[in-house]
Amino acid sequence: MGKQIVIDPITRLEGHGRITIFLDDKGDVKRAYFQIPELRGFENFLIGRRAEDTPQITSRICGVCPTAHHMAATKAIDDLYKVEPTETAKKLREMLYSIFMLEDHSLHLFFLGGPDFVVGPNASKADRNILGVIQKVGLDIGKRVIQTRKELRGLIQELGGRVIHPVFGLPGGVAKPLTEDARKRFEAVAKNGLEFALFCESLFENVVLKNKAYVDMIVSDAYTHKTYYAGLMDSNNKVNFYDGHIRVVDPAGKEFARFHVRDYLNHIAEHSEPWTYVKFPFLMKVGWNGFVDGPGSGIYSVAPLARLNASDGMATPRANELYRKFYETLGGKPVHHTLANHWARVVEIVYAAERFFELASDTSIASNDIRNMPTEKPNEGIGVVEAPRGTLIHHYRSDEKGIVTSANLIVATAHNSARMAMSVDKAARSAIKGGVVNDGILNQIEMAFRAYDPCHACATHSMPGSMPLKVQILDADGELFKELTR
Amino acid sequence: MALLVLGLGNDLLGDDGIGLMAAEALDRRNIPGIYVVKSPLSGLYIVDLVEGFDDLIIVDSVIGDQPGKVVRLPLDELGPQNAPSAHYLGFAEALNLAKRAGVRIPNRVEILAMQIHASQVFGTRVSDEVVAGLPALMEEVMRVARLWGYEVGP
Repeated sequence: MGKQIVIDPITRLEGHGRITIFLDDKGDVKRAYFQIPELRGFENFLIGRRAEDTPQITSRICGVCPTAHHMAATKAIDDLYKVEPTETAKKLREMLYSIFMLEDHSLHLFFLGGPDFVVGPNASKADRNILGVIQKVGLDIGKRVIQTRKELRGLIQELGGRVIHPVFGLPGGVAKPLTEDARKRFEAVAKNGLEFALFCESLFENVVLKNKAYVDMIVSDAYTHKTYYAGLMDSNNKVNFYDGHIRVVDPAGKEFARFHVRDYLNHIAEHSEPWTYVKFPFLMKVGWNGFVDGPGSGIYSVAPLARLNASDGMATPRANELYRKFYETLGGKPVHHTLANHWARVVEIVYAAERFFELASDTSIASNDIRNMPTEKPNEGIGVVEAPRGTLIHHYRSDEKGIVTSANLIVATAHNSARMAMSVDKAARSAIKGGVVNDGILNQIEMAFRAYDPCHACATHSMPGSMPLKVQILDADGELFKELTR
Repeated sequence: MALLVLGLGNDLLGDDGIGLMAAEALDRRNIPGIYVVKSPLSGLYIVDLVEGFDDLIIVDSVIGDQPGKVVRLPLDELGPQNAPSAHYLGFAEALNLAKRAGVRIPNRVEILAMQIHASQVFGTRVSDEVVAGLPALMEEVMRVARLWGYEVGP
């Protein structure tokens, strides 16, 4: 008798972030998938709104990374109005974006990556040891993280205005200039931010990398998938969060494609499965060949590890040193271990801080030349940024008056959906055999959650609060057979 | 003593906008001694908003079978300490993390939530039953404020 297992996050919104596992008649895993949020409703909501309002509206999709949606939409409406932002505006946008990435990544590292140091399915002794370190230094680290975050948030608010929905990006530029006095303050915070980033790096090195058991866990077979990788790159194929071309490398690390986001529909297609409404993006030129990895499967992924894999290095000196060390330690490019995302994030923290400092130190950023006014009729625009969790694409069409007629948003979680399904599947297979469900499945699913940090799209600032994991095992008739809850 | 009333919600998500609506209504009354803030954000962002206040009343929504009914949500019943991801970090966990990190968070926290419809759709309209519960929600905010010794008038 076939069974269905549902792991359902208890959010206020139904049908979001659900994990479903199908068993075959023998009680073994037939297929598992992670159901990502349905953005279609939001896309419909955008129709009939003014295109220039999309940066404000879409920043409300997600209560966790509003800045990423704000920036992707801003770039899409540059394109829609066919206006190139001024050099100053580009620098200001990239600076704001670097601050955001630094803040979001460090938050993730300390408050969310932290538990992973202890939740490993295989490790026990080593992990307890790491927990000890975290606990010992926890208070000081916590204070420093919260203080630094607060400074960074303050700058983001200063640029966008202290209102409920910040206004920063406009077609062709930004809403207000940075004064020289403000620039000096930004530079001072950037200097602290850089020290903080280096502190993050040394802490990660001491706590994690010097612990062989943890490194073994990173390189273990769990969540290892040899897929394609994609990310936004500058003209030298160095990682860039704000602008560039999308570069895709194959599972051997060789460049497979490099394209402007305007051409994304020629490279990315969506696969449908009869058992879910979730669409699985894949590389059109490779093709969909099921939930398998390898060069013959068009499945690709995004996020920090994918960005590093898709690049030839980092554009700033210290981050680039760390990049080299990352690949030396993990056995060369590309790295296919999903759990290495946490380390890749540390490399990016240093890059974000270095880039922020570079931009804040550049006195030309305090120029008043912040906007080119659009003069052409709007029709279609596509924008892309690297959100903390991966490539984010906004695509709008409008009428001549700039009223949105269609919208398509591809969030990082969507790009990762097929690979995430593979990770969930792997975890499920190791934890469920012959109808016997190992309680460790909750840990393993949680590990996958943390590594990808999937987005559930709607700003659920969340009462009742968190997402306790719940595993429901249903038989073929839909009857509850067993329930596991954390 | 400083009291913050924080309205949470997403004004693009139908009934979920009720927390923001309540905060707006309260703000219009201009009551001395009560600070009012609205936010669509989640997780640790909330900590930035509440830091430094002595007391906090959160006004929010929760899915329930009696839309328009006001309920109290005890802070310590709001879920586990470790969120599986940033996207699922709840308010209670965020406050807890901040507290452990030495941030000065409010001593007293009351969470008042309006029950809303389970089937949420994108849109700016808050349903009639939920709007009808607004006076009761406001009255509850005032009652808690008075209980805590704030002079908020009748």
